[in-house]
Amino acid sequence: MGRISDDDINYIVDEVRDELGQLSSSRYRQVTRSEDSFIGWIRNQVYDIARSIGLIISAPFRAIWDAIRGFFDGLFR
Amino acid sequence: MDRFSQILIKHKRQFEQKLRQLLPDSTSEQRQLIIKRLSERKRAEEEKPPKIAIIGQAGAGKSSTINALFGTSLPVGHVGACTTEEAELRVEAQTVDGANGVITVFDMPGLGDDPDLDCAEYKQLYNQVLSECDVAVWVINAASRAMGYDKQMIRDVVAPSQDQLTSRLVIGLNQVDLMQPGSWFHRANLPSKSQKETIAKRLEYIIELFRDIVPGIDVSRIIPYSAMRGYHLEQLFEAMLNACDSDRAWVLYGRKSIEDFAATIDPDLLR
Repeated sequence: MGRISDDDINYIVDEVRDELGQLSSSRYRQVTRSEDSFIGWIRNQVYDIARSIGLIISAPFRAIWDAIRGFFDGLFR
Repeated sequence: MDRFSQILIKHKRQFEQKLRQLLPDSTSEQRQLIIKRLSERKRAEEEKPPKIAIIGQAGAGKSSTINALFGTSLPVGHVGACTTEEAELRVEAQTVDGANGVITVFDMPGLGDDPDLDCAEYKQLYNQVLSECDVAVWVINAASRAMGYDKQMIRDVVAPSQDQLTSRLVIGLNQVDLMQPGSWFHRANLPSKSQKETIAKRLEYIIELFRDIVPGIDVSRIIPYSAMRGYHLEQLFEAMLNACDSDRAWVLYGRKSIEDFAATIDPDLLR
């Protein structure tokens, strides 16, 4: 195996740093999306179950959910 | 008891208060029933395996991609159990144990695999299977110049159906580690400078190819990666989550099992 040039070493170091940065951002976005998806799933299920047991949704469901969603974020994140 | 049920029990009172805000006409019994059913539905949803359709030519690395993402042990080049939905439609599907639970893989037949099927039947088959799937991964061998199959499939099957097929589609350019000039930096598990340029050009070509034929395609879901090296698997998985229905993304995420990329790099380079 030939000797790695200084240029190559600098390139590798920069690339490794860049890759690890991208990896970290990618994982963060995955977690965020997955958690948002789960909270959204709870909202949809609550709505669906409430209707299935005969409750009439009289209040502005979505607006109230948005106002209280922080509680669910806190519980499940 | 699962974590979700534990949290519900621990915070039941607060949960019920929030439900009362949300559903002011509800009784206490109804709110308790909602909490109970929510817990049951969570368990049922978790037990439904994420369904993944995998498309691509033989040798593109379909099984190795699923194995690398979910810790499954699909034999590479496997032939799955055949299920016949209707006489003329055949899809190979397999439910396999992953590191974090079961997933179902639909191994989609390639155009021309069955000479008795015409293009309309392929389209029908793809529409049917993809409508049931959480996400579809189209695996292309990035190192291969033979794009005839993929072009024909895109033109004849994907393009005419527009959103039905494209909304859940992720395109993976696998085996980028084998691209010319073949100078992968093993210690850093990264492409060399010249290889990186080749990969970028290939990606550009594939993006143009898909965009020309399927204008609605989300090109951010075209990901160069290597299943064998564990390179850019997180980006591939992120694209899959983005393609997945919002209500199912958390279930898919729960099945993820990707080797830590940093563990594939020589520790000396991380100092």
